Amino acid sequence: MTAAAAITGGLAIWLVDPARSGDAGLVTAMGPLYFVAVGLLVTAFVLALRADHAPGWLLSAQLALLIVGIHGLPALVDAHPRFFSAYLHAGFTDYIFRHGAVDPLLDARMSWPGFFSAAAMIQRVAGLDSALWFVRWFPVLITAAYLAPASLLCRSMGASRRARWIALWGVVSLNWVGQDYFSPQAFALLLYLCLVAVALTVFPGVGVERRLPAPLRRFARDGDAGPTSALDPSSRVVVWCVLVLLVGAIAVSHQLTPFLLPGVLGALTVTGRLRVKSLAIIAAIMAIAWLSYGASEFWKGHLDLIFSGVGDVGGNVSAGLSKRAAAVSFPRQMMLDVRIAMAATLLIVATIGFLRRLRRGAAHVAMLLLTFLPYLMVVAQPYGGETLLRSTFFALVPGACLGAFAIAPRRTDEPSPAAARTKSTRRRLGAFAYFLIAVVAGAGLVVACVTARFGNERFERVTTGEWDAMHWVYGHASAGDSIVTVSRNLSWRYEGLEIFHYLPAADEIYADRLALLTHAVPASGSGFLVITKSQAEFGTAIYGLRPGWLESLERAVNGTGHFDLVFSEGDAHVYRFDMGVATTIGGR
Amino acid sequence: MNEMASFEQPAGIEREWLALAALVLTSASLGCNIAGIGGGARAVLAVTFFLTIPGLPFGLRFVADRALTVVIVVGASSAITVLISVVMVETGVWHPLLAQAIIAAATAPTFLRAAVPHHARSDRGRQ
Repeated sequence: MTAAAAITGGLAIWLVDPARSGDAGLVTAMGPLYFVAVGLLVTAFVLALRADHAPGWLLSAQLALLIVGIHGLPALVDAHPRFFSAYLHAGFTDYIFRHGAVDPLLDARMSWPGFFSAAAMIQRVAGLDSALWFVRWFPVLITAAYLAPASLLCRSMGASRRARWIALWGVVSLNWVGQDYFSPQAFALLLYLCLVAVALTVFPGVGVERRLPAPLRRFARDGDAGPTSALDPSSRVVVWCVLVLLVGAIAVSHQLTPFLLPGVLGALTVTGRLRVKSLAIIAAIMAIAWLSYGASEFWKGHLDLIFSGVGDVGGNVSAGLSKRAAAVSFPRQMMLDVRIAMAATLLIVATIGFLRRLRRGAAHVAMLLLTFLPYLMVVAQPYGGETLLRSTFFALVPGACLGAFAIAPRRTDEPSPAAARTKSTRRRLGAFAYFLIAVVAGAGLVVACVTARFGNERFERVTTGEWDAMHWVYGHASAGDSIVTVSRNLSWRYEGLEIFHYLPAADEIYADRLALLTHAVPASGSGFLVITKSQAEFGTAIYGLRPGWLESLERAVNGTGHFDLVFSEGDAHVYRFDMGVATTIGGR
Repeated sequence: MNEMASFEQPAGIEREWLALAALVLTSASLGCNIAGIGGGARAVLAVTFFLTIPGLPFGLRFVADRALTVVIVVGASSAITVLISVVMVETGVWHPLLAQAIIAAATAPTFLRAAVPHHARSDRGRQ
């Protein structure tokens, strides 16, 4: 059945045309064969899980198919790597690749260069001329990498084999957030997960219950303490050194994670779940030290940006929800609802899993903290309206591990219910119903993940016209030229960050057509204006502009007489402009 | 049965194979760079090198616990790669190929020791 799922899925992906994506995203372009393949794969997985001794390689193969079938979809169906932010990150990598240095004044993200410099180093050793090579398959690679710490976290809780595989399946099929593109946060999450998984496995808290009053002892039972490795003292020192290395790497790689880490480690230490108290302190010191040294160029001019959102929970939440929930059509609204439902599902299932284990006398406080603490970031920062997404991303793995207990609450050391099975008809019917529910729920989750994750396919996909247009621009632009767009949603800025003058439209100006036109027609200088269909889709979907807004703007730009159409392919147009003298538009 | 049992492997054999694989990977990646061979194979080797080799000496201590080993190897390798690259950027000494060679030189003795079983070494010593 697994082989049939692979063949059907392969055929379905071969036949798909991503250009047919509707308002609800890529899922609308997937043919019925894809859903048949999903059904087959989920059925095969549930059957394998029901068998007491299904081989690990079979479950691994099914999981690999799931990863490729969800997170590898764009890499398989799209002609070019997707998502404009990934292109910009390739641009940061390209800068370090060429200069062996960072320029924090180019962008705040350059102040935390760990991910970009590591990518640049690998790019050099790999003999690649562009970091775009990494972009296409990065989500598949990083999602697979998350499974290693996820498996260890499950083991640290004493999860059964079945619960562990369910958790891994959950990590893959609940990862709708789309933050695992070629980005520092995706990489920082891997480091963070490795750190907490190793720390909770090698240094778990012991004897917590003895320190608490009697009524609270039940909640402090060693639910988190699964089988641990019997390491000698020197090995523990080695592990501690590895943990410190991980803390250091996180501190220099991402803006948010270094500040989340001390909070999480501190909470684990205070609740007695983690024995090494020093880690939280080291994490805090390193985060502040890097902010003071490596990222000083950033905070010197942006203190208000860092602290303005502190405590403004309502504002930070609405920045995340209202902007992202501004739908313009019923299918898109449906897709956004699926996203909210997926986020809620993770937390609800994690809570149910926690409660089911609590009923059996084990409180997995560590996992509960790891699932819910990232949401405290909402108190601190709006982060461009992305805090909620980032919080959900960081809650994904522990939430899925805890959620597996909602389905399989048995611990490894508890007797298997198989021994108590009877052959009564009633039990058989119950088992069949359970099987059906598992298949329907599993398949539904996969489809919901594809829907939520690739809901923006219409504008996040990079068409061949857009790809060729930017290559043409880079081939013809001179140093110092301006490259102007009316949206940041473009596959650009992946090279020459400091060579060209990039002018994306700011989010604030979309409400004002004149401001947008003023932006599109620079007052001075020379360069190129790039207009693509994906920018039009972006404006319509994210900012609620009426369909046809970009065509109208393009006509107005043409009407100024300063622009020559120099490249046109498919849905992409490139205009050359040369403003010798200041231009006046609309009385400016 | 304790769950740990399912993670326990015959330590010696796995250690030797891991160390041998690491040596082959290191040689192949360095060889590609020295020979100037391009293409996808070199890229895959480079990515695999930096995600496994720097942290493998740590991981070899824990081969009895496969899940822990994998996480330590991936975590430590990623962290070391990041820290080395940041140090190079901050100090202005940008030599990725030299960094790879240093990592290879620093880890090779550990892999060589692990690849040659103790009894083989002691046999040679007696001869």
